[in-house]
Amino acid sequence: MKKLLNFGIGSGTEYRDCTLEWSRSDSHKRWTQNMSNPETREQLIELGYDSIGGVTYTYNEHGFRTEHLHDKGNSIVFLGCSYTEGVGVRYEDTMASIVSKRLNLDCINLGIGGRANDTSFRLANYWLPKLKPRIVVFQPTEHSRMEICTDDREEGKVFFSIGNHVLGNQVDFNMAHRLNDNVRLFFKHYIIPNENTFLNYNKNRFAIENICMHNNIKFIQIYDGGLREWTTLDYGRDLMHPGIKSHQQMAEHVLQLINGSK
Amino acid sequence: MNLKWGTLTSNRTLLWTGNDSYAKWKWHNFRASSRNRLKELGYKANSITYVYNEHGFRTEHLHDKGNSIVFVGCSFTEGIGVRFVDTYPYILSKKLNLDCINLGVGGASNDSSFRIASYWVPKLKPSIVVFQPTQFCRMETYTRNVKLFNLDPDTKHEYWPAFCRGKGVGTDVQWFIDYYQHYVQFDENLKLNYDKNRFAIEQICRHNNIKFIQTHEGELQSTPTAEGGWPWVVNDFGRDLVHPGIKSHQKMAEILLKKI
Repeated sequence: MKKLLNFGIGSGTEYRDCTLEWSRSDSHKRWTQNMSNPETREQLIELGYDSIGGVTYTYNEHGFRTEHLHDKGNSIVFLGCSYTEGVGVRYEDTMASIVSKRLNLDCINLGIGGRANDTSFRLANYWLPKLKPRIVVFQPTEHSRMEICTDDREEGKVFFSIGNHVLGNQVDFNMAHRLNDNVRLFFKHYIIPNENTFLNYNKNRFAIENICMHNNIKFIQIYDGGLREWTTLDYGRDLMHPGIKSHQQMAEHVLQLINGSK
Repeated sequence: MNLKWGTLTSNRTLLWTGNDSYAKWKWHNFRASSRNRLKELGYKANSITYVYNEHGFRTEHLHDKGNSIVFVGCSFTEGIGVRFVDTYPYILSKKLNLDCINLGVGGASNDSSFRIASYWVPKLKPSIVVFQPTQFCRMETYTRNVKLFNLDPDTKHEYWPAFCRGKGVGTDVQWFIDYYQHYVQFDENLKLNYDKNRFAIEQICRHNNIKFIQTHEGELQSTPTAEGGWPWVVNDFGRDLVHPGIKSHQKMAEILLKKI
């Protein structure tokens, strides 16, 4: 029997058990570029991100931007991508942190930047029966992303999320060179028929909801569609992800969903 | 989006299909051991017919029947190698006095079962859904020219069209085959995909207030073994000498009846 990967693993090795000044699209390189462009520099000054040190990222041993994971009983789990992880904002300004505080529940943020709805399913399948939270909040990401177990040319066998952000020219995300050629080619074909992404999205959300049902956990999906349904009122430090006000607004929305007033 | 299809065969009645082919029948009759087995099992060249509806399912027309039971799965559910009245879906439906809607498709993957369930179950609103998991290593995808494509490691070039609907089969799907060969090397992919499909099908049932039953836990054993999900009866095969025979279908129907 071949040894299986740990299904509960979060980010890659560079994001485990560490505190980082910069993370993912919120990179020093991008910030420097933005500071050297008069238009984006103005934006950063307005948002208060014109000096280094405003945001830090602390990742636990599994690669999640959250505390150690153990059965907390009185907790709320968040699943999603960088929007849930809170790339570009401080931890306490994330939607996940705000909602948890308001509900007086321990916050377990399993959101991972750049990952797929498949990732949310994998993490839910592994962690929910162990953590037994009271509530699960699922934030769907772009439907076109997919995750498979494959060979990463740098890390060996991994769960790799692939999407246009990985194959495109985004300065902080281009990992195409690390990906198996067959997977890359498949993905280009896979995303053309709408049926594939539609079916995969539905499969993931139904499956996550089903896991919650089996474990007597309240399931909340924050919108029924793609990432664009998260309204961006302002930006984080990377001028790409939602900012503080956007997270606050989403937190209010989630609280209304949990309270049943929406 | 077109998510409703079963097999390639629509609105037709066939004497042979899939693994239960005339070529295989002739081959079995050429060899003494298999000829004797066929004789023992009582199969003849004209003993089975396969009637497919307009969507390519071996079942009647699909409409909201209210008092029905839906089956999703692969050839084991479709009943390759046995008469329709000898399939476990038919036997169970009769015992429960429910209309039988057999959406099993030979060569289908668990992905296919999810697709078919997600399309048909909310429309048909049956009383019960029975999900028969197939081999984990199968996967289904849509491609640009070929509308549906199922692969498993045993799939050979000449059989590909049997699992496809559309044009250009075998010429523009090399990218899928290359990917598939990579994908199946990792057991993690197979386990996650199985879990996801079964959880998702169950949840569709829950959303529609339908009782959900799974024929067996884990992977389908495609040949009789001491362990494994399908309740094989020793030396009991369908006419193709590959799929379960009449007694095995009866046994499965009894097991499900107890579960229900």
